[in-house]
Amino acid sequence: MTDDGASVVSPAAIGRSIGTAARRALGGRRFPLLDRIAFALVVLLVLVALVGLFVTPHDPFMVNTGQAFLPPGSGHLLGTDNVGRDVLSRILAGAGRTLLVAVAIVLCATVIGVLVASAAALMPRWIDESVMRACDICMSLPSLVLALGLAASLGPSMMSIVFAMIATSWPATARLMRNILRETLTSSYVEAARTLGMSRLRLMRRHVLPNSLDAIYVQASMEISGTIVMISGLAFLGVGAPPPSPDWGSLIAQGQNHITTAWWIALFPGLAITLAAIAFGLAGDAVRSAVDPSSRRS
Amino acid sequence: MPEVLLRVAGLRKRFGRGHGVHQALDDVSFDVRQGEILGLVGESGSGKSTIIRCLVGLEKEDSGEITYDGINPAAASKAELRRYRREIQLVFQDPYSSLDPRMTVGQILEEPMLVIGGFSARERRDRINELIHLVGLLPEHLARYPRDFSGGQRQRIAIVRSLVVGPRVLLCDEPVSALDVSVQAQVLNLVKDMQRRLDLTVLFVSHDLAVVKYLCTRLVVLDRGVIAEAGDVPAIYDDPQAPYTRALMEAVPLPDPAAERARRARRQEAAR
Ligand SMILES: Nc1ncnc2c1ncn2[C@@H]1O[C@H](COP(=O)(O)OP(=O)(O)O)[C@@H](O)[C@H]1O
Ligand SMILES: [Mg+2]
Repeated sequence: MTDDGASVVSPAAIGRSIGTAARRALGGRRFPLLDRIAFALVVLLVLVALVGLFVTPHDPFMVNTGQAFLPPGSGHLLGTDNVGRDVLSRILAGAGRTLLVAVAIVLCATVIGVLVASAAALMPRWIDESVMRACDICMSLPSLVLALGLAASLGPSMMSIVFAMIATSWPATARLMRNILRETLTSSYVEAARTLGMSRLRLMRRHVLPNSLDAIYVQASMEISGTIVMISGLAFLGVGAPPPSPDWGSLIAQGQNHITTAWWIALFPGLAITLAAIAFGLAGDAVRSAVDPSSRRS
Repeated sequence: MPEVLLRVAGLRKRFGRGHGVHQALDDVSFDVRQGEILGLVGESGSGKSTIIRCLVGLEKEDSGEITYDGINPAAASKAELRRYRREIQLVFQDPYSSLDPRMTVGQILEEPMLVIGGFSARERRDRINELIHLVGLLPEHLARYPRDFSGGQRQRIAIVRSLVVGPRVLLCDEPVSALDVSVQAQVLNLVKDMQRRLDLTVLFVSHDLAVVKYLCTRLVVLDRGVIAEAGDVPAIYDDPQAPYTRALMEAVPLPDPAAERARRARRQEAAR
């Protein structure tokens, strides 16, 4: 698996460094317990995100200026914000708008990348090459610039971030997939099936895709962590959904003016992002080691 | 004289374009006769695999004609092509890469019959069981994966895979060169044994003249895409005509390990 210099801040690269750094901080060595904790955390986070879309301790959108700036503690576990909304409720409500959106972005980008690369591999060579050149061009486009452009033309919304992230991250998957396909398609076991006259579609389904997708799963699982960080960053910059959206990037943005007097408004969403990024990063790292080529070869 | 089963006539193939062009095959013609084991020898890069790949349709020859039992695969009907693909089977060089790592041995062995078609479930099972017995594999091996087997066992599996559809011609592209020396003889004997039992015609590619001498009745010597010499094995070994053949024979390992070691040292010295 090669990672080229063009995409310095790709979600996968961010996810990889988060996973590696977290594991190093926790003792460096890989041990199954850590992998299991990471997977459990990811499942828990996803459950919380799903539930939080519908049920929270308080109404995450209810303004009550009489309750503004309450510190963490009685009644409001993580305090209230500048207009009296419950911080915990807003974090829980925002989990879905952050984590599920990140997962959805990675899923879409991965499916698109895999489909495009597979289709290109079945096409005549010049189409194949043109598609890959187009991927290179897309990859060199920074997602921030694209997101800003989309936000300017469509108005700021979570959709601007989603489109910009998908548009800039599927080409990396397509390129990776194309490289893997090139290798798989020329392997002897695929050639053995070809000599029997197996159709190209059946060949793809039966031999090529199953043997090519491992690295894609790894890439996708590493990408989620980085995507969480990136969409939060974009939302923080105001590209995403306008207030009162409780996605975690926006929560930090909303709290930053009060950081010296009411630190809890920005700190807890920040901690949530950190925890989620580490959990998904560790889980991605665990997936990578599970399908490690060295354990696959022998 | 036995009839000609497979004929290659005027085969040409070049790779690359412009300055990088490389004539891999240049007017290659030979016959494979019913029931024989024909050796195809030549140094690495002489075009042996390219011939085999043209025969099974993995490469398209630039010109020339292949004829098998009245079928020209380049201009065959669907039914003819199906018979061609069924009756000419290939054993790859490297059994470490020729078996799909994600399939069980049972699935691997069943696949050719599924793709070619026309085998009932019972027939498929019976054929697999009969052949694995012949090559010395056990029924419980069918549920395992290629990674659970040694190179020699894998090549046995690959040989069974090539035989399940009932071919008449077996193309073997250096089937032992990726194997441990200690198991090479077993696999060679297996090829020979299968050839006799199943009345196969074999085109056996090798860069090792000692192997060919042991296995083959006739021989085609390939030198950089051109046939240098062809004929009966004893005749060529007694009195090689082409200088290239003579040079190849020089490279055959000597039975005496000490002499062989000395010569290998000389060659390595010369290569520096
Ligand atoms: N797909 C290909 N593209 C370019 N050159 C090739 C290709 N396949 C084979 N060749 C070249 O053709 C020549 C013959 O190769 P090959 O048939 O594999 O030789 P052998 O099997 O006798 O070692 C070699 O010089 C090789 O580099
Ligand atoms: Mg070869």
